[in-house]
Amino acid sequence: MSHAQRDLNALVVIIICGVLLSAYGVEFLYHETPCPLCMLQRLGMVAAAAALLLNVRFGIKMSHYGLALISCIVGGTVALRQISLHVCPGMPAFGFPVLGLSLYTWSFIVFVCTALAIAGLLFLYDPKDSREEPEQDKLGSLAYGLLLTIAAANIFTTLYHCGLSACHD
Amino acid sequence: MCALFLVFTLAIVLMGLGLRKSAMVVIFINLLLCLAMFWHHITDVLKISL
Repeated sequence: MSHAQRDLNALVVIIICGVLLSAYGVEFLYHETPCPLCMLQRLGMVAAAAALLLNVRFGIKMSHYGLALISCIVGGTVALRQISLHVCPGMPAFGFPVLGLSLYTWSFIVFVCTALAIAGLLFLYDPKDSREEPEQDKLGSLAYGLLLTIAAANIFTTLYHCGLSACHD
Repeated sequence: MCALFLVFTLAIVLMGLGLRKSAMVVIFINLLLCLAMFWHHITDVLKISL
């Protein structure tokens, strides 16, 4: 069961990496410069993925799930804040819509779905699993490599867009 | 803001090196920094609107 749980954690990490890559796609294909709140949402996604990656690399532990849930709450709050900025009548939406919804709305959906996925994984949690020694598999290595590459790439793109200071609106 | 991504990258590298607790502490502290940045953004907007 522990092996299946680690694979499911790795799968969630890979899905979050896919979302971050699609944000990159919109950024470069449509020349959208990300706003500070968008960057904070990306940071929340990287944090949630990194916390779940701890389960993949070191075995299933409640503290890892706790950290992932805190990341989802932080990121979801930022996304909700951005939705509330544009929800008033007459206020235009920020950025390019994807399938009829703004990226920050999609971001909120991703955080809620990640929190629900963590809740589902917690149903499968068995304290005996945390005592097992984790072994590295291909899916775990793929999740680790993807997340490391995306986090490192974001350093350079943020430096390019915002410089060393906080990003401007 | 790129520093926040840099610190998360460092946490992932620490994970690769097998330092679980250090990676957890770094992720948690960086999340607090993200919250501080968010708070700074909210108060900036409030100052403008007030």
